[in-house]
Amino acid sequence: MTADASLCARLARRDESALSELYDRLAGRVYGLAVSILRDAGEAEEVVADAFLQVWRGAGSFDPARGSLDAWLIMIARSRALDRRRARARRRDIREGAEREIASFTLSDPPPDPEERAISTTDMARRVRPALRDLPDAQRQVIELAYLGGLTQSEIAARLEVPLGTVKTRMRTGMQELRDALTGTPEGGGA
Amino acid sequence: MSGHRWLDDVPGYVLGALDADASAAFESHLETCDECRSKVAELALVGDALATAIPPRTPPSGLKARILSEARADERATGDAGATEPDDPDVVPIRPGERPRSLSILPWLAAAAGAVLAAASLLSTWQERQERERLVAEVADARARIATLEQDLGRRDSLLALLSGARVETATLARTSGEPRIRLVWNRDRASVLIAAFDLPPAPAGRTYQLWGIPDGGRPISLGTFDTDADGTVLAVRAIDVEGPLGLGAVTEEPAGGSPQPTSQPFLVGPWSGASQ
Repeated sequence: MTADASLCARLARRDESALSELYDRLAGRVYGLAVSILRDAGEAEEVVADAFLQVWRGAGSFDPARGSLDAWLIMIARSRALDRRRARARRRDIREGAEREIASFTLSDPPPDPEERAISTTDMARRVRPALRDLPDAQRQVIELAYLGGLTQSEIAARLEVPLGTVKTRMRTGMQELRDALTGTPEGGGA
Repeated sequence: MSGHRWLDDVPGYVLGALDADASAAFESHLETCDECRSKVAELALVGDALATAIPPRTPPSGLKARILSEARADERATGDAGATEPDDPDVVPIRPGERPRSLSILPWLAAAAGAVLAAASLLSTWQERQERERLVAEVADARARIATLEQDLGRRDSLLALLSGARVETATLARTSGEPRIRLVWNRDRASVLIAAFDLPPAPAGRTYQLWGIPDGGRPISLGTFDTDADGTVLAVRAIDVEGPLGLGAVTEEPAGGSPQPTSQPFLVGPWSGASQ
């Protein structure tokens, strides 16, 4: 049984220490993601609580053979955070405000302090951050607007005032670059 | 791989950024296209990796305790340990009615760990995630909308009561140049004043805006402090404990917390005009 599967089984058995372990392992990342999406500590805190409780309640029906617990939890948190973001946008229809907020997004922000830098030591993080930094701004921007802003390609095209095809091309090129950086196998690069 | 137009949609699909109709069309295409399926699996890794690119932050202290205690409360509410199906109606089951898969799938996977199979299993995970994400989003969305509506409704009721009182006075404060502007509505019966500001940048750190009423020939009376949002607007209600008539309304910038008397020249001034004198 993998570590993930055993943690899952313990969650499903309502073993609180499993929830506690999961929290210690992932709360920093989940909170960081929620803050990046919402730019609001209070709302981000709610998202973290919602996401962990949902995993706690739903662990019985999660199948560890089909994906990682981490990815599941993070997916839930992202989706909750984006929901709140959209609800907030509906509440306060201030376009310029939203734009400023979007403009302040950045996936490759340096971590706020060295202690926090130490938390994210996974291989993925080590590879994806420099890769994001190296992306042309135009490509990084469309990926960020989709991932952190929850916008669709058409919405991104409207916001940036560029054709839909341009958004698709930038997204495709950017995602491919990131994949190559992650797997270390540039496609069609020759070399 | 050239000329396969659907491949263009893969990155958008993986990021959840396809428009609704494009997304539905792409999903039905996926059922028949191995090439797109394996591309989705490939880029799904990037989707997961993006989360790791975001700097972790230390969550507020006390959050862990709160989550654990809610989990415990949950437990008490849903009864015995060992229940694998969530009973909470708020929870969207991942695959309703289906038992968790047994471990018997593992040897099977190990025996057949070809690239295509691996891709297919990542893909199904992704599709499940999308479906789950959609359901969870719908529920959360509906709740958020209800909460917003309730909040808006309550706020609207009290604003309406304030605006529609019998003894209401209004004032518009402006600079000669025009902006920023502040509109005031003073409901004497409710002893409240509504402050609506436009084009007024938030006060600098450590400072606040303070509203004054100035009786004819008298000293300014504080009507409370306020600040604007990043977009330069605010809609705020302040209690106001003044009986006598006020000739002028004025706004100054003061140290945080406000001052007993203005410490600077008001930058916005305007006369009250209204019913009762």
